[in-house]
Amino acid sequence: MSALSVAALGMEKLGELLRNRKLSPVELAQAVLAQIDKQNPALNAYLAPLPDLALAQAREAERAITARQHRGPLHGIPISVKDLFFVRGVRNTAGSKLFADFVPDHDATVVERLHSAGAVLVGKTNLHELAYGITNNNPHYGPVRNPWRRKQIPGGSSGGSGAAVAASLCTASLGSDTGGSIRIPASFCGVVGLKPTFGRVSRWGVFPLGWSLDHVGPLSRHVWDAAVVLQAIAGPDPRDEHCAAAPPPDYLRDIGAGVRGLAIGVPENYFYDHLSLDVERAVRAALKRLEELGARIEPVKLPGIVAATDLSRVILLAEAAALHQKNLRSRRQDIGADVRALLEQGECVLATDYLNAQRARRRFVDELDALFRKVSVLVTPTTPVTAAAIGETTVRVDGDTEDVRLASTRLVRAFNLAGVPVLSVPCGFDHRALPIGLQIVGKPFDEATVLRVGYAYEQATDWTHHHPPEA
Amino acid sequence: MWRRSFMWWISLAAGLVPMAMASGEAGQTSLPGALSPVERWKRFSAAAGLQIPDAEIEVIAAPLERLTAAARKALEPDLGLTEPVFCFRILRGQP
Repeated sequence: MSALSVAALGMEKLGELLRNRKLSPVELAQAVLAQIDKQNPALNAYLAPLPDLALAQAREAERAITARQHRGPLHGIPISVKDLFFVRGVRNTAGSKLFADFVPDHDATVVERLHSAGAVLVGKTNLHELAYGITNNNPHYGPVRNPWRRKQIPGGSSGGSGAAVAASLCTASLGSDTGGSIRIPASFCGVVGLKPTFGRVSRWGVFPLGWSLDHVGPLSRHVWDAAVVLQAIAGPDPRDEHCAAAPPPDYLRDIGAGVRGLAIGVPENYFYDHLSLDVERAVRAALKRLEELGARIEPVKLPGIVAATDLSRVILLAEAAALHQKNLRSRRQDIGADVRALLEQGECVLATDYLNAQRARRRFVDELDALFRKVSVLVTPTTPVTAAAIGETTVRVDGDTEDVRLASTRLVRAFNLAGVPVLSVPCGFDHRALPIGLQIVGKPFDEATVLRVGYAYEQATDWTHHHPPEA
Repeated sequence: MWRRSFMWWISLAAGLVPMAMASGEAGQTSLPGALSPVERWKRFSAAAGLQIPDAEIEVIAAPLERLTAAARKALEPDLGLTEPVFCFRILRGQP
């Protein structure tokens, strides 16, 4: 088997090979590191590959597996983390010049948990500066390129993670999502991305952007792999006061239960109003496939969605500006133009608007709660368009010109406001062979159903079996 | 003394009037004699001590106008006595 074909295997198959000692964790790590060496100069997905750490962890995993001390489905699996998850002794830039020399003295809770599960950390991935944007055109560390077409953006802010997973430069990656930052790169790079419920996964040791909107979750090539990573990182954490106290359920138990009889809500307003033709066609075909699998499609309305989308911007602008106010005053020149403009806009948000947005947020949460009494999940496109070209500031959508950032985020933002779990799965390609994403939204703390729907769809289609050309 | 007091009131008005206008309806920007959005946000920034360079306000004034208008519209419904969500507990019945 070639290095690329080993690196491209899913966790289920890799776990079997590792457990049965047909593949050693060291061989697997070497195969993935070889791919990083080969492809990263073109893709710029990694800011810091960590070959020494990875090989040390892989050797430890090999010893443990040989001694029949197998720790579970992540043992020996190559994982990356976005460069805002603290790893003790490893530089953490958050994609910014401001933190170019910051080396944390502790691991993030989720990094500790990956270590405990026996994962092998192969590197830290590139991101949009300060995780504040969706292009990943990073002015300090260079743009990340989409593996499907290198002139396009990978989406962001977890774009390095999306590109690394798509190009088989790791089996899964951890990203963060404040306004779509896991789901947008998942959609643009043709991989799976899961934003869990607010409070499901600890954010301790993760560089923040918007305290009330930040979420941590996995990007992977398969839904099963996302469930495995979520299982490892979810659960209470006394160091993160926002973390829910209840332990997570077994996410793999019912993942294969199918969608027969499940009510799937399809919003009649907003989400399908203004899409590219390719996206609309792919998402409608996905809905038909889910219906063929036995799901019941229910038209629903979400009247508060426009306000929720706008108010989530107000909240993020204010929270990010508060977080970075001192840096904006003292090191303005060290912040890229697009992020600086957003921070400056945030300084101009009135306190009354911020607070009223947080009050209106309660109303939107209640609206979604009522909806989820009628349906189990909502299904929408993840993004209305596929990946834009690097440097492009506007896109054409359904005959209109839109700002790339607003177009890419308008179907995902409101679910950060509501804190509900959302999965993006690949559902096709556009006429330029760029991937399209399907968004599956669930009830609070019901990641299991979201994963179940995504898995059923994935098993009934072959989109996750497509691979981008080697860079 | 009266001159200092007069100047203080003038400077206060110069700060507060644009703040009130900046937080008002975006649709009023084209009234005859009204300040341009760029000028209003410059005054807002100065009055609030934000230290945003004028050249950058020229960049952010248009998106700020759009954001303010969207926020005004989104916040039109009466929120009654609804309390704000803070980052601690977003979801009702969170386990």
